[in-house]
Formats: sequence, structure tokens, C-alpha cells
Amino acid sequence: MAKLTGDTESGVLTLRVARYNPEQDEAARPQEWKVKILPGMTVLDALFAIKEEQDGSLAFRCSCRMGVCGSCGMFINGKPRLACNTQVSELGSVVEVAPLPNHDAIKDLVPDLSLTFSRHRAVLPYLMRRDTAEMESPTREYHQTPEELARYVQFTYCLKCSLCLAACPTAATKEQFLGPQALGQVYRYVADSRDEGLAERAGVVDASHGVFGCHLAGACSEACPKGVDPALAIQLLKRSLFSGPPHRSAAQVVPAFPEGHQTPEAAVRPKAPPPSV
Amino acid sequence: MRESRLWALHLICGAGLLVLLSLHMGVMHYASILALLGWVREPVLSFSSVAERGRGAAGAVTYVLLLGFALYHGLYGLRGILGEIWSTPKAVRFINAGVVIFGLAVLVYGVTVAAQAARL
Repeated sequence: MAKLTGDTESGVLTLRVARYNPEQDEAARPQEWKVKILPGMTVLDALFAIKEEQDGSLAFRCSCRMGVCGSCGMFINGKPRLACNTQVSELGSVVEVAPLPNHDAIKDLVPDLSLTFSRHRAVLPYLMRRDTAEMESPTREYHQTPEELARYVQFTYCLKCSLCLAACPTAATKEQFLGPQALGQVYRYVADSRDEGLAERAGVVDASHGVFGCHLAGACSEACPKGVDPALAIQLLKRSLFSGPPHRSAAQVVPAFPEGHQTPEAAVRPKAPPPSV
Repeated sequence: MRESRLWALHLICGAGLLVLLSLHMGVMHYASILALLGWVREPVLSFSSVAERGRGAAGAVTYVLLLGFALYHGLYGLRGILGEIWSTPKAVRFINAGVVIFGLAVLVYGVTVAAQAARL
């Protein structure tokens, strides 16, 4: 167990970071800094404090700083988390930070996400339909009920932060495994009542390195910072491969405009009459 | 063949094993209970009883089915484990081929033995 060298009572945090520079290091090496704790401080804030005040060479990735973009995924005290979404007050006086497991490190805490994105692309993550003419030149909207939306909406919250892939024990041992992010997104589109692409996607995911590689450990769902449940998506995807998508037929375009509907052009208000004064 | 079909077969074999192993346990290990009920008359492990069970078509088919279910179910699981230890495409092809060849060889041997027993 790590010796506690920091003290949250006195307002000082010890940050132990795995440093790695591919031009100098063969493997990651730990480096420690002490940071003054401020109210509401996140791990990302602490890393910025180090970068601005102690060591400008520390590399990490971030963008929105509010848990929306998914850029700052790191391995914090043994769990994959978003650094901007993790308060240091929850972590004790010593915080160990490393790059995401199951990913190559580009430098220090910057993971190489190219594999995540290439797997995401491989599963055809977009609506696929047979009425290509309507898809390419849409004339109206596709009809979808709130119940149909509810079937897949949680899976649309995926940030592509790759925390689920970092947590996945199968991905740790099986290089070819597509991973929970990509497989979860397959179900997101398969369960969408506007989609007809199950057969095409089955060619990619109906394999031992696809949906059937999952052990159902559930670590992906536990790691997700947005509450998405990729493990559930994978099990539902298995069912879809046998019995088809949850919707019986693909959604059609809205049959007619509702009564009283005006197209945007017709709805433009006439100019007000000139003042009569 | 798509993995979903192989996986479905794995589940079917698992269910089949449950039925046949229950039958096996009932006949071979709970024979005293069956004797109490009057369903068996002589010791189930005697040579004559074993030969009698193997001689009938129902016995031979049961043996072959049990062997086939157990082989497929076990080797599918073994393939999954080995495929995680050695997961390169070349290794996976080698594992698949090895599992199929081994499984078929044992199945053919088992069917041969069951056929010979049926002729006793």
C-alpha cells in the first residue's frame, strides 16, 4: 500500500504521476509533486497547478473541463476516470495518476485513442437505410415515438472517452476485441427505429473478437462517466443478432405534415404596415 | 460460420448435457433409488447391464449424443480461453483448426466404440 505522504487536513496533496517520454524512457517512471489543495479542486486542476507552477513539461490532454468532451481520461487511483470530473477531496492525500490502461501512451498522461476511433468507425456508426434517396435528399423527418427513442437514448450519451475500454478485462488480454465503446455504439444504431443496418454491422461484430468476446464483467458500465451501460448494450446486441432489432420495421418518413403546419418559407411573417401617423 | 450460430450451438449443447447428465446420474449413481422404485432389477454396473445398455439403439444414440454435446460444449469453451491467451489471427486459426481436428477425431473414435458395443 502506498505510504501517505500528503495531508488533506493541512491542505497539501501529493500527486504521483507516471511520466513517460518516448524519446527518453523505455518505460513509465513515477514522479511526485505536492500541490496546495483549493476548494472544489479536481485532479485536472491539480495537474494544471503542476504544469503552471512546477513542471511545464508534464503532458496531459483536456478540453472542456466540465465532463462533456471526454478528453481527460486517466487512470486515477486505480480506476479509469475523467480528471476534470474527479474531485481530489474524494481520493485521499496521495493521488496516483497514470495513462489509460489498454492504450499506448503518446507521452505522460496522453493516451493514443486512434485504436478506439478506428474501431468505432469499423462498426458503421451512422444510420443506414434502404431508402437511400430519402437519406441523401431528405424531404421530411423520420417518425419516431418517445418509446422508440427511450430504447437507445442512453447509448447516445457516449463521449468516446475510452474509459470503458481502459476498464475492460477482455480488451486487456485480447488485442482483437472490438471493445465496449464500439459494441455499445453498434447497439445504439441497431436499436434506433430509423436504422436498417443490422445485417451489415453483423458482418463486423458477429465474431469471437466481437460481441461474443465479452465476458460480461461489467467494468465498462462501472467506469462510464455518463452513466451509459455498454455491458447491457452488448447483451442486447447478442439478442438482436438472433432475433433482429427491437423494432419490427424501420421508421417511415412522417406521413403528412400536421394540420396547420406551415413550411418555414410560408411561415415568414408579412412585413408590418407602415406607421399611419 | 458466424459466431452467433456457434454460440447458440454451445448453449443447445449445454442444455442437452443437462438432460443427458441427469439421465446418467440417475442411472449410474442413484440406481439404489431406482431399484427401490422397481425400475432396475440387477446391479447397473455389472458387465451384463453395461453391455445391455450399449447394445440397444437408444443406449448407443444416448452415448453418442452425450459425447457430441460434451465435446462441442467443452471444446468451444477451451477455444474461447485459448483465443484470449493467443489472440493473433494466425494463432486463432491454429486454435480453431486444432479444436476441430481433435473434436472430430474423438467423436469418430467414440462413435466407433459405441457401434462396436452395439454389436456385442
